[in-house]
Amino acid sequence: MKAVKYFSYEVKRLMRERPALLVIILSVLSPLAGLTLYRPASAGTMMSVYLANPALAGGAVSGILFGALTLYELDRTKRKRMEALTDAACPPTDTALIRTAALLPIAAAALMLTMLVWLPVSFFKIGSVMDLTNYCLAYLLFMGLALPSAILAASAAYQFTRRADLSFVLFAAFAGSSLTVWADDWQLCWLNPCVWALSDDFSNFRIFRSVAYMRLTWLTGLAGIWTLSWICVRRRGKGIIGSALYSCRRLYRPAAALLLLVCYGIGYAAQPIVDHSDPDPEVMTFAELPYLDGIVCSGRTAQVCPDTSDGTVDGKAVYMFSNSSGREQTAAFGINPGYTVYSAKANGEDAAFSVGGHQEFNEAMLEVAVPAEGDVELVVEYGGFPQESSGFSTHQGYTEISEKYICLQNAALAPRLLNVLPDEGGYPAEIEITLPEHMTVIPFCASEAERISANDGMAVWRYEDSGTGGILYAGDYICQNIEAGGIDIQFYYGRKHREVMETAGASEAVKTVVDYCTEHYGPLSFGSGGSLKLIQSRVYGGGYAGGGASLLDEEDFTSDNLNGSGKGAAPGEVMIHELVHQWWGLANMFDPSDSTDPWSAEGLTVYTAYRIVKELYGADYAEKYYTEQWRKETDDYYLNFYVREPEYLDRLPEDKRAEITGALSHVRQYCEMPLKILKAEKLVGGEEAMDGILSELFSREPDPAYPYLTYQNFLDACGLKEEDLELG
Amino acid sequence: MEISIRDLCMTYPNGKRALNGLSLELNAPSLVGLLGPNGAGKSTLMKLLVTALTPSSGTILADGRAVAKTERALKSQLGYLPQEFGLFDELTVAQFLDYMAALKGLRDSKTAVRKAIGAVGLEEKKKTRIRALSGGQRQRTGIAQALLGDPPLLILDEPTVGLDPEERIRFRNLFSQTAQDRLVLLSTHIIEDVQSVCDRLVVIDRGRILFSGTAEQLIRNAAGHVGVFWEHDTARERGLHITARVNTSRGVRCRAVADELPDYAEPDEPTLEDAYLYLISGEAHR
Amino acid sequence: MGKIFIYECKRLLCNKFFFGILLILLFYGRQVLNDITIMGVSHTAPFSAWSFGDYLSRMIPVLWIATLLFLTFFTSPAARRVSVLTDAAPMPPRRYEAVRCCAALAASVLTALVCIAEAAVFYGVYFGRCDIGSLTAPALVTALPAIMFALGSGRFLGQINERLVYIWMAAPLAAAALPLPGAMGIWNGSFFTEYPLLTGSTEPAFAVPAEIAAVQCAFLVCGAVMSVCRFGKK
Repeated sequence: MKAVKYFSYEVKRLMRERPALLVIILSVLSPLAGLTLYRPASAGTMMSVYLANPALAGGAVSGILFGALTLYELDRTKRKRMEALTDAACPPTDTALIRTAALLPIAAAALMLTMLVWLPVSFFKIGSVMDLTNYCLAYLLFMGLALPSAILAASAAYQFTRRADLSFVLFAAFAGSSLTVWADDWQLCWLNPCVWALSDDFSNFRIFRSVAYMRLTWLTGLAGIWTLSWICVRRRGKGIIGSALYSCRRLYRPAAALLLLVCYGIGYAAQPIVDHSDPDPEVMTFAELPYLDGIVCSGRTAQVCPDTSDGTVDGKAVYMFSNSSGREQTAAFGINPGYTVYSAKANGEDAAFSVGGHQEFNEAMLEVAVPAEGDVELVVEYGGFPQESSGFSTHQGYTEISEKYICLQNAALAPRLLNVLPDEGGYPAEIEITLPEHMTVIPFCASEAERISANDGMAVWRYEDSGTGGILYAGDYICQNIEAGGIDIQFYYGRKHREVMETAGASEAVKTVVDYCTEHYGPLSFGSGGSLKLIQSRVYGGGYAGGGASLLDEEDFTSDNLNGSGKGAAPGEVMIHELVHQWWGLANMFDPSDSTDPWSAEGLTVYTAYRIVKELYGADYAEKYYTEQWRKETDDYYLNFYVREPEYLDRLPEDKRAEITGALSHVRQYCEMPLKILKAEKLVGGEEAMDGILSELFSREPDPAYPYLTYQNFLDACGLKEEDLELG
Repeated sequence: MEISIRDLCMTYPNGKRALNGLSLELNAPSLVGLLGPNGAGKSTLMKLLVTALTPSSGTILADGRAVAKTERALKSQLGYLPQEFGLFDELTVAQFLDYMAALKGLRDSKTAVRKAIGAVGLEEKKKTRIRALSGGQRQRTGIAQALLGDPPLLILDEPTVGLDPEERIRFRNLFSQTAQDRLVLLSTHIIEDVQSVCDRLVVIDRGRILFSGTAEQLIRNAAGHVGVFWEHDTARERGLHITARVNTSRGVRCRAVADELPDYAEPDEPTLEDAYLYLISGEAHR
Repeated sequence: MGKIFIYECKRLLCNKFFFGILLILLFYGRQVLNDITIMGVSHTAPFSAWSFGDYLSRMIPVLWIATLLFLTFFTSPAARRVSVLTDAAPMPPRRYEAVRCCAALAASVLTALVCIAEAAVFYGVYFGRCDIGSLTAPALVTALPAIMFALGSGRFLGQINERLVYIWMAAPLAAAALPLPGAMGIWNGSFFTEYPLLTGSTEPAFAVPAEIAAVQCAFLVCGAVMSVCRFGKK
């Protein structure tokens, strides 16, 4: 009772203290840093820019502030020389506990206030894709849990050292480590979690789970360290050891500290989020496995049941083998390292199986004995929480499994056969997936998924595929069927993005671009059977295409990007720009190794977008909003000091030089190169001639050794030399 | 140095009347003890003397000239220690005194600083930053700055607060020596200090002077009004001002002042404290 | 007088607070130099007077805040407690205030010099050149009126209420965000980014148009007048 009274008194006192109020006010303001100074989330989605970054900055700044406040408050009695009075009234361990605990409601108040203040700002900035669940989880996990961690860390430092200055140095070093050397280790960065992106249109539970796991392990560890420091609170005039020994007379204290530290150790070592793939990308032992003699695979099926509430997958995969070798052999499968194999049965009999410890490229090896029988039906039951690759631990979130979005790739979908050749039919596969009724299943291949049954709010979808792996997307999608360029296009985008897509005239843009580019440059090589799926994916950091489907990263369709003036005069034109990248920019079209090279996917894309706009709105419009802008930007570029005096650029340190070149390369890629292509157009005899050249380049047969389209290829195709296109 | 105060009234902007027609003559050499309960107006009187406040009415003359018109002249002869003051914590004791010496326009500041430091016994601390001083040492630094340049008029408001008994005795003797050739006005609550060194007492209450004279005169006024008795019926002791109460093996021995002593009290010789309390309690009665 | 000036300078400069300000100033200056100035302003060289002026105009908020913080040494509650002693000294209050203002000015100028020195080192390290002579004019036009006005206006507000000094610290931030008239272009940096483009030359010589010079002089004089005036009552 006395402790409760003292606790409530401490909380009330803190609420009236100026330093605490100042820390609360600064904490409320701290997300501002995420909009300006500290932007760890590199993706361009609205949620990354206006939610993740402010919340992460808020966590880092207010964590440091609360750490400092903790030290200030804990040192208060010593500073005011009141220890003799307080120690006489209450045991020092009790006061230490209550003083630290009293800071937690203050931290909670700061968090609540921050969330209230920033809610309207986030709604205003993020617009129609704003989501309250994401907002609450982001602030709670990215910012909120940083505060108790900081309070525990600072309090522990003080209780160990009993010196405010030394504790501050220790705390600063701990926080500084998180912000610098540990920033790329998702488990160690206790203050600033590794969050590179939040999706606007789909869910973010995977990254939230990862951050929550990191936060909870650290809170456990810090609580353990704090309890240890609490044992060391000086009492009865004893030193650190004497006080610890005295406190240890109550056994539950050291036992609690030990238990918490052991839990932290186990939680850290046995984390379920990320795998332990071999960090060396050249190690590809799974791909080098020799194929089994006399065994072929004639087909496979998989029944996959993702649990959208806890992000897990349960599945049953069936493989048909013909074993003509007359002996038992071991088939190898790549399986997601997070999965457990429950059973393996060959023709109804239990088959011996094992999962190896070695992991590479987000796969562990499952080995199953295939009996010496002619036809073998091998059934593997598996399930669990899919882990992501440790190589991308700072870019987590791809394997999202929720009611709004699912992405299961290859071994996360079903065990991937590694060492068995197919028969003449390839690896025909039939995949069945059971999902909540509102979700649309989109296989990343030419075939369509068919809904075969629905029951209790769940629907079963089936589709056919081929190959050993396969990628599946599912989510709350809208599908628009568009006929363009002689093919049927299914344009899938998130329901939340409907308003943005409609404002930007997405379907018209798709039709315009596909018609135009197909007519001028030729059909897309990855369109299959006269159809093409354009799938807006959850933020991915790029895109890929193949087998009748192409991925559009949601990052390219944010309202910020669509309203940016760099790629077009209106959102619809930016949409055109992004879609033109399906022709100029995917796969092996341009060498991505030098991001500052003026010859990039952007030159031809900007030029093509200009041509489309010219056709749509007339030459005057295109001149005003495109070529004039390019000239102005290019003129500015030529007047730039480093362009005029390149020797000064050479004198700069390498990193600075790269930074400046990078900053200047945008103009070179988006303005100078389109102007050069425009000049080339004039030199080769006009638009029609240029279209012919580009068509040839687009449908060229790439050299497997270096498949990229180079500037020299372009010049050669135009019959021009580099100096011919100098703008001067 | 002669200070003449005539019909001095001071009312603060909040309406509080601190001084009410106070008149007083002070002549050097003298060490005048200013006594009075809390809120009597002592500090206000001192602030008016150092021109930190402007009186509502009345005049203060220093050597026959109104202090309001000769502020600089007065301040050049003044050493002042207020009841509450601050120091520049980032300077050392010597630096701060040197700073104050410069402000006072002292020519030989080095000697003045050395002398002042010696007078308050801070030689060992002269190079210590003020923020590292104890409460008593800070008080001594304050006294030192007042003593800088041997000013003919010293106004000290509660100078011995925070000093240990030994230091207190040392300082009251210092003030006594200082007062041999100048005017020192000393405000304090410690009756013993006043009795030991002051040649004149001024008792103020509610902005008016209740007594002005020597300690002996004040004691004489209380003669016959101080008595001792054994406590037996507390109800009967109402109206008496108990000044001491000692537990002994025979019972509780009390000492009291009153206009009329009860018959069971044995008359006793009054002390200055009895006399002061008799004066103040009588005033309270009225 | 001289002794009080020295002691006041010592109070302002020899403490952790001043070094804290310097650290922040150097950090912010480094950010500006590395992120903005290094690109050069309006096509001019990063070491041109224009780019340097732009750098200084971006540093004005920090210099302004530093100057006002120096003033809080005289207006804080702790300083007011010392004033019961200093007020009893015979030195004329106006002269005493003037000496203190000079000390605050000296500290502010020193802070500005650190800013300039940082730019000079930056130019020396990255470009192997540092023409102090060409940097003097933009420094005088940009930093001096700002410091003087901060000092005068801050002192004026501090005599009314110490909290006003803290509120006043936000003034240059507001100026940077507001569309100020062209004559006040130095206060939001637009003068350095726009004027060189009007000259039609890639490396124009540094020049200040009359209206800009008049406004800066007005700020300088206003600041100086407010620095020596005494307000308030006993």
